[in-house]
Amino acid sequence: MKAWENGLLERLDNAFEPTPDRFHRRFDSMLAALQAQPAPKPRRLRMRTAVVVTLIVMLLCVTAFALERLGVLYFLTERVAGGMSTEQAEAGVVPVAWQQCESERLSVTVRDIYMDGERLAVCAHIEPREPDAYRLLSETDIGTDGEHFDRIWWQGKVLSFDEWLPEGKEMLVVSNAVLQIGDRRLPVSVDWVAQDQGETFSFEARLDVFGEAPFKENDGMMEAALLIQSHLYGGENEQSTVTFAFPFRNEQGRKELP
Amino acid sequence: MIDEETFVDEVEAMERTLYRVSRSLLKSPEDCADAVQEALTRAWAWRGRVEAAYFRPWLTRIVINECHTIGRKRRRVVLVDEVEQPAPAFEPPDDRLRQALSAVPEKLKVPLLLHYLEGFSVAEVAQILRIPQGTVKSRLHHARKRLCAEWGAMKE
Repeated sequence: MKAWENGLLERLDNAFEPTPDRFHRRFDSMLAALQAQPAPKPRRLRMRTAVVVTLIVMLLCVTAFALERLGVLYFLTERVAGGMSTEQAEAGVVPVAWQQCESERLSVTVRDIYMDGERLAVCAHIEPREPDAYRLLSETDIGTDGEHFDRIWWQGKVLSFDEWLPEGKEMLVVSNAVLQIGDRRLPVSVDWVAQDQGETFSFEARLDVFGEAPFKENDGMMEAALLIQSHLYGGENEQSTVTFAFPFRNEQGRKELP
Repeated sequence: MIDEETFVDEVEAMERTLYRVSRSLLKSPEDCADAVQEALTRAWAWRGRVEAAYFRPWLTRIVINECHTIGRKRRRVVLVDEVEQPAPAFEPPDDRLRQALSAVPEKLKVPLLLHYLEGFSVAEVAQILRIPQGTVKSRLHHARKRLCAEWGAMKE
């Protein structure tokens, strides 16, 4: 015998008494009470939550800033993640922790720093901020062929200005530079890397002129600035400044000092 | 998301359903009223998080949960069977059917009532009881057989 054959399933409601009045009254009064409730206020961010979130964000920012200033981020990204080789580090090449360039015409990026007890060499990539308007060269590239002082020595060839300079561009000449550490300024020799003549420059300063205590340490970092003079050919000099910092250890700077 | 007006309309339409569902799980009509009242309070607070299409199964689920909570409290205090329940104000029209239904275990009875009496689909019953649809179908099959058997036994 099947339940639905007896119509049991259609008569299931008969198994229940009518809804009691008491239940019905409570039901109605409950609904009325719910409707009378004030609308819930929109959730506000609790003060404590806001303070905790703010503190966490501040902590992260301070940590990131400190790591960046100490050169840890650079160490992790460049040294550990495949940047500078061990051989380079052992040879005295130190990483650049941070740098900042201030210049109207030039964009200067410090790539490598070499330091031993006697000298500090800075390899920097320099390019015009407006490459369509200028072509860059070092002052030492400009020379004479014996008769005219309007020749450019360029990759083993002697070219006239017209031959070297594309039409519509001006010559932007890097002429001189000074390295500033603290209050002291050191003269530097300007050279260029042969493969990238006129673009990648090497600035080298002798440190022994500082004497016994050449550097001011700041949390293991040394800060220096390279002041670069440049001019449009025949025009007035403009100074570009690139400030940079690098990890520094006392023994590294002093071990070979006289 | 469901607004206040729709909430009230839907709940009013479900009054009988809520009573029967709670009555099938609790022995006292007073406990049924308590369970439904508590469920309505919870549902009202969370009404902004349910879509209108799922409101009926959702509210039914809350009522069932409240019935279980109240049932557990009652068991902790005193066994229900030991107390003589006050007679309801009205007797059910078919007392024999009520007795047959009471003899069906809860895990079979609830799907049976939800599907055949309250009109929930198999999918909705599965959603309410949080069991697979196949399990619902199986329980419905066994519930029909059991009800039929109990009905036959009552008849004898």
